[in-house]
Amino acid sequence: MTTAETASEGTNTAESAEPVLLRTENLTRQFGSLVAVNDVNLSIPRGEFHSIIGPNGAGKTTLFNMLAGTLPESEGRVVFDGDEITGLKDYERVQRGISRAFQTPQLFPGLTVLENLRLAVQAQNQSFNPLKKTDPAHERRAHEVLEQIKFDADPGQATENLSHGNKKKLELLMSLSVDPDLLLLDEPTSGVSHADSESLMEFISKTSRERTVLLIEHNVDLVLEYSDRITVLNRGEVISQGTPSYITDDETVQDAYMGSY
Amino acid sequence: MSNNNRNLAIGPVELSVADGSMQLSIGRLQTDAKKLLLGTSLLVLLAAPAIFTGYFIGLLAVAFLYAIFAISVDLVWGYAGILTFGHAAFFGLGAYLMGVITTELSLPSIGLLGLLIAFLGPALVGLVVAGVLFSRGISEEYFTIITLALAIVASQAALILSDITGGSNGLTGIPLLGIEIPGIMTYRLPYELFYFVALVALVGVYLVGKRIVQSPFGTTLAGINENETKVSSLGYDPVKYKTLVFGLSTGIAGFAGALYAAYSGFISPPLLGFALSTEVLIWVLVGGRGTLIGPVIGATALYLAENMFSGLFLNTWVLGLGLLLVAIVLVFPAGVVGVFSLAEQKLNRYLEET
Repeated sequence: MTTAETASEGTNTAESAEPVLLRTENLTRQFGSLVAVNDVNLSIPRGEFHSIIGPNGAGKTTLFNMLAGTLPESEGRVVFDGDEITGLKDYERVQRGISRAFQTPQLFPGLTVLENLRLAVQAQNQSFNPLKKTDPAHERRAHEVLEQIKFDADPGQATENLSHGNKKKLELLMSLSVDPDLLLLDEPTSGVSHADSESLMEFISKTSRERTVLLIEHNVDLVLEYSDRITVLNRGEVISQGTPSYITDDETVQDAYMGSY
Repeated sequence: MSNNNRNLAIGPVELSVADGSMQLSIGRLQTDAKKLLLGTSLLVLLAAPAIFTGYFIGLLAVAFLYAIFAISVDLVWGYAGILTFGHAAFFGLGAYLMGVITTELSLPSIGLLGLLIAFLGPALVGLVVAGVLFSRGISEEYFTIITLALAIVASQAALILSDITGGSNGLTGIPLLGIEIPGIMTYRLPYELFYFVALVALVGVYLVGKRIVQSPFGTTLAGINENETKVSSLGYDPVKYKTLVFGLSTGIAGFAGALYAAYSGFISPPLLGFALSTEVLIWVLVGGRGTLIGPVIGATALYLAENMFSGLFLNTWVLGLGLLLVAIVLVFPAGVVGVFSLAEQKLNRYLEET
């Protein structure tokens, strides 16, 4: 029923033959006099692999922080799956189907790899009964999640000792474990070896068949290869939006990248 | 294959012979040794009244109640990372509820009813305090300062509300536990048996605590302690978890306070105050924060030591305690239990190498 609503709401965008999953209207975030994100309008159809690129300081992570609910919106609206979610807290947005992987892995350093994953898995079936035993199904699920990806470390070890690459993989797996409709990925391959980057993107692309992905990524080659559409931010504003081939030909994009250095 | 592999297990020691090489594994030895140690201590404690003087057993019983109090603090501070400077307010509230109910009201089975109310009352106050403060987004540092104020307010309130609390004189004549159903039965616990009640209560609370920290709820608390942002970004509302554990903890503190009131028969305002609130933090820290058993060891050992040796050293006792605390924080931040687990790791490494 909500699909009909979202479809009608999305008619202002030309390519929205599919229902729109995420829509932002005039989304703005100010830090004092600095406008980090300025009047951003996005319309992301369900199932799209959408990348956000732009020079450093363009406001990409700030935009993500607003979409995930870790940072309140200064102005504008966020509509997800037909419902307005502006002002909702981060955990409320997760419960509605938005999940996020941080650029700097946010793990539980003293807990093991499997405990980290179990916490992510259990978030779907929270229990406030302090005497409840751990559900073996959740333990199994944590193992299954880990097996999806090449992970070359002992899953019984504390995550503080993991390599950067493994931390990035775990961060991604945890964000996937809550089974989101919309996955926000903030540079999932930064600091990861070249070979691992390729396989990670391959994995992300595979899982994105069932989901909508919003990706921040510096590696333009990867972005052009995997994205359905791309939004380019510069100084907090959208300067271009379209398919990979459209973006590569757009001169304003080239100027923005050249001008920033 | 199976002809080449042989396993021989004697208790925790496992001997395996595979493809001509022999391996001796003592992997489970440590956990079994721990269980053995706990079991032996428990047996010694059960037999203690037959061995030690009545005075010492009396001290030990009070030490057990303080150990329960220390467990309650460890649940919030050691596991959820919420430092509280005012937990005595809840211990004292439990004690006063017990005192008032058993001396002022004449209800059937008052002793047991007192214990229940002494758990529920402080639990409810704890839930409201934590719920209101955390849902307003207050940081844990400010929460700590407010708990400090709470202890001061509680002990002042006990002074002022003298009609109910007896003011600075406190409440006296609080009876030991009993079950009383008018016309049917009256049972009063003999004084000598209270030691066992305290021991059973301590073991029970310890086991419940163990169950809590191992539950999915407990794992979430551990997550909040380590990275609250991440917990929140996985879909958990940290406020709910922190509020619930705080309420559980203040309930347990109140329960310990009620037993204390019943045993000592006398309670007064310092029981709610700042001094006891900080002393319990020292017990938890010295024993080992976030281990449950550490605070039990810390509370029991330090309370016994204080009562047995402070007479000998008079004012130097507090000085010594202060120096011990500094030494623990600097040298063994994980407390007594931390020292043991470090020794265990060393032993494991030694066994692996040989």
